[in-house]
Amino acid sequence: MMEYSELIYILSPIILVFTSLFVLMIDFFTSRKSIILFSALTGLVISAMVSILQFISFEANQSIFFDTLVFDKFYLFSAISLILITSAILLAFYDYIVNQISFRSEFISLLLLSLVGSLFVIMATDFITIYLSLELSSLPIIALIAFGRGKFSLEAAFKYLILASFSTGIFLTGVVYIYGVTGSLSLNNIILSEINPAIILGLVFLFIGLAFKLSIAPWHMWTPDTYQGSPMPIVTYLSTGSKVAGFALSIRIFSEIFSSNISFTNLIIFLSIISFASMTVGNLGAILQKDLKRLFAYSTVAHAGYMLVGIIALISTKSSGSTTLFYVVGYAVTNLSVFLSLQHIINLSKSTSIESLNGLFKSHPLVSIIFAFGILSLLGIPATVGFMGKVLVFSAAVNNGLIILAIAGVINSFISAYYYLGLLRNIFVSSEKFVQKGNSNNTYTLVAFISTILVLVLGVYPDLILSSIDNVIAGL
Amino acid sequence: MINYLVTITIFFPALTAIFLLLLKDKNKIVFTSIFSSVITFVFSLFLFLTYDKNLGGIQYIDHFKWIDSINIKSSYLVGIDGFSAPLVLLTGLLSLVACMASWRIEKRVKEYFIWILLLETSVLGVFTSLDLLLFFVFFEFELIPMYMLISIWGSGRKEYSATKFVIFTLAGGAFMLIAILALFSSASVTNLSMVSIPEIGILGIPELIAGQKLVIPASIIFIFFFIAFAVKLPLWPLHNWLPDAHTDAPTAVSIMLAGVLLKMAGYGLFRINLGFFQETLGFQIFDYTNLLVLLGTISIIYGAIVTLRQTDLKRLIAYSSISHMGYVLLGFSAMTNDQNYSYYSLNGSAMQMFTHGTITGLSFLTVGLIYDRTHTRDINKLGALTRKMPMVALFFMISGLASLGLPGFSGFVSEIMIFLGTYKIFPVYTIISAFGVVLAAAYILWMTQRALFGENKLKSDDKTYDFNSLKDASMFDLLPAFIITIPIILIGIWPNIFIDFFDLGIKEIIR
Repeated sequence: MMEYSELIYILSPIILVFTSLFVLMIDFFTSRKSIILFSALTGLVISAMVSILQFISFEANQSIFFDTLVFDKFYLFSAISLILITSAILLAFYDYIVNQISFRSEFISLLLLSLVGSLFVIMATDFITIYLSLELSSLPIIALIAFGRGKFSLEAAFKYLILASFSTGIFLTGVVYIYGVTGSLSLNNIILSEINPAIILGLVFLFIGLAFKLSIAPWHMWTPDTYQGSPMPIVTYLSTGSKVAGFALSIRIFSEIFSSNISFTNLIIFLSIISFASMTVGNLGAILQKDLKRLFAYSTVAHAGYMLVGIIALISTKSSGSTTLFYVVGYAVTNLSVFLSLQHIINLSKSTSIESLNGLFKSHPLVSIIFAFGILSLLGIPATVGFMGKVLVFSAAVNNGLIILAIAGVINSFISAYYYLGLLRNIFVSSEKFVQKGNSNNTYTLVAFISTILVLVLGVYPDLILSSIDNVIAGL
Repeated sequence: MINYLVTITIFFPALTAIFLLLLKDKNKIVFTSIFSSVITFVFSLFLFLTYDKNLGGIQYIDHFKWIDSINIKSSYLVGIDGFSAPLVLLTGLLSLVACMASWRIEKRVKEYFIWILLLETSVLGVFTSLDLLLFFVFFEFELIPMYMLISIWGSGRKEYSATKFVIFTLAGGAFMLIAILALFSSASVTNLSMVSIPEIGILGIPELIAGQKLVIPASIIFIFFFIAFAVKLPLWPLHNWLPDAHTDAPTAVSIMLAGVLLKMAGYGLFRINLGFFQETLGFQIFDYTNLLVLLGTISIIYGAIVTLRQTDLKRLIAYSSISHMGYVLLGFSAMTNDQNYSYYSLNGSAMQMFTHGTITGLSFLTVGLIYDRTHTRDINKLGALTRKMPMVALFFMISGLASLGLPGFSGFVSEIMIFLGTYKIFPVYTIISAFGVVLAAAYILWMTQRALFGENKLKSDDKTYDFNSLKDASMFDLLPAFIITIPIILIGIWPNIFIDFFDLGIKEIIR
């Protein structure tokens, strides 16, 4: 039986939906730009507070709405991260949204709706619900990409549209196979007690559908083009919020389905090859790039490969899920600081080419240092969260006998040193003078600075969230 | 015993680096950095002198919980034992010398000293951390300061050399990380402590993996660790990065690189490769001694032969480092189950790390002084420098003679100990390696003869420098050279001060 009291469990998405509608409406009544942003941020903060309160006073897992959603610590943890990341993006890109987006209330409202979709993605335990919420989270993104004013915006949006619908189709095909064999759409009822080829096939389709969204190679083709053509707030959201939601969903699906004691050797080998391909394609692709946005797009592909390592380990032991969750949260925090400082730099130089970074440190030391910490974290240098994430993910891999995959991952991360250090060289070493063509707002640096502090704190003392992440995964 | 003294020693340079951010005046920055390195040196000297040799074991332990997850457990565990105490002292000493040698730096002074101090922190961390993951963190962290120092303040193809250095070391580090994770994933390993500390109830990896089955065969884990340290040592054929990094690095960085960074690898070989793999199942380090001694001998002879051909002073010393670090491996590989012989060679090997650190530090320091004045390191353009700068030449001679193993200097002590120990076990290899000493005499004497004595070979139309207006180094320039000469001569005549320590440390590593 559904009761109205169950609504309390989805209070934060509800608040966000109302905020989204309120933002749309208030545009008719006021011309003051700050009110729109202020109300959006208020909604986000309230829903974050609600989630935090729910997290603190959490008692037991609740299956709600006819077992289509589940309310657990895993959802709350991911939701808090997602809402905070989105608030940080909105806060930092305030200036950008006000000045460079023509339909700003629609922009914010769509972003909030996509966030709501992502929250339901994490909660969902039923394939139909998962499908609906995935659509809710990705459809607004298509429109948001098209908001960009660059010449590549429409191309980027169209590519994303085609591939998103295509991937949804593949995802649904996988669901059909699984439904055909097990007769159930609910994750709770699907427990693989034997290796059934149809189920494996279904899982592979399901995974490919997700892989599009997570930009895992070889389904990453849209990523560089979309990153290049999208407005920066959306690029940031795609590489932080979207990643958290997508990997959280993968963690839930993989840890629910594989709760039996059979070894899925073939599936593990398949996923390992995909993961290796993703790291390698991402890193080698990034070496060739001359455009900063494209470079970080390829770096995203490589990092998706690293995160997949943790997901593969999850098939064998459930507790490995905490490594991926830590990695993806750490990666989101890192990328937040990278993209925010990147936007600051782009505002200054009016260019996205790598050469435009030359000599940045001499004229803008603060943003250079913040950017450099982000890059070092992506590279996985000790004392940053990126390093801890890699150590955890690879330790989960070795723990589950995936030593070759771990070696491949570690070798890949030193290949990535080549292009990450190349960026540092441009910023710190180059003797050329930085060409400043525009001005920028300090909000980018401020928010990036806060996330850089998080990068360092979590890198030096990961136990700060790691123990609660272990807790959260144990409660799945 | 004073609590947290090791932690303070490690992080004092890093805290100074943060404090430097607040300073603006160049002189204040230089003064603060030198003052900080003096304090750190005093700390390290204090640790060295107050280490209780009668008690032995690990002392000055600081232990906190650090990461406590299902997937990895690690703690902040630092302390010193007989093996690491001299190396901590060496780091304190050479960092002091490096800071003092940098006082003339003009370009981006503040950043320069920040990186030097961070480098010191990370090296001190490597020598004192007793937790494997913590060790790895410090071992890798050193890359960023080194990359910046070489690529910004270097000369020549500095960016190329810096990138090469980082890529080589990261590749080695990649193998080490896998080895660490493989160790941790083994069922019997519950914590990552590198040694057993009975006082606080910690069982170290050597005990935990003794006779146990590991996730991957112990021999592979051994090789992974070995590759990481072979890159850093550097060992033929992985030595390629060293000459470039040395040649293009600024003086102080060369001192740090040759003096202490290479020793991190030797330290790792002793602490990890020797410490862990004596009682492992199916494979012991003793099975590989033939391979190790072969690699060591090749490094000695190859390094020495290549050194003979060098005309750039810095490159010459860099290649001689490869040869001299080969002795470390030669002495290291003579460990056997029969402990009477191996103590000689292992002690000699550890001593070689210390003495090579001081001797090469002095060499790079004096080459730096010569380069500052003549703007060239090409032997074909130097000559007769004794006439114009006698003091610099004197110190250069001291470093050269100590390096070729003249009795009375520290190099002799360590080399004779290594040969004494290895001769009984690997007579052929020892005889071959002894030719390395002959070659060393050849290249050192040839270099000093051409660069310091004879006639000046600068052509009259070459405007690199003006021979007649050359001046000797000032007192302040010579002070670090003087400081670093003290241990070279002290060990030469009274080696026991360090042998006692290394002996104590090695007896605990060999069980």
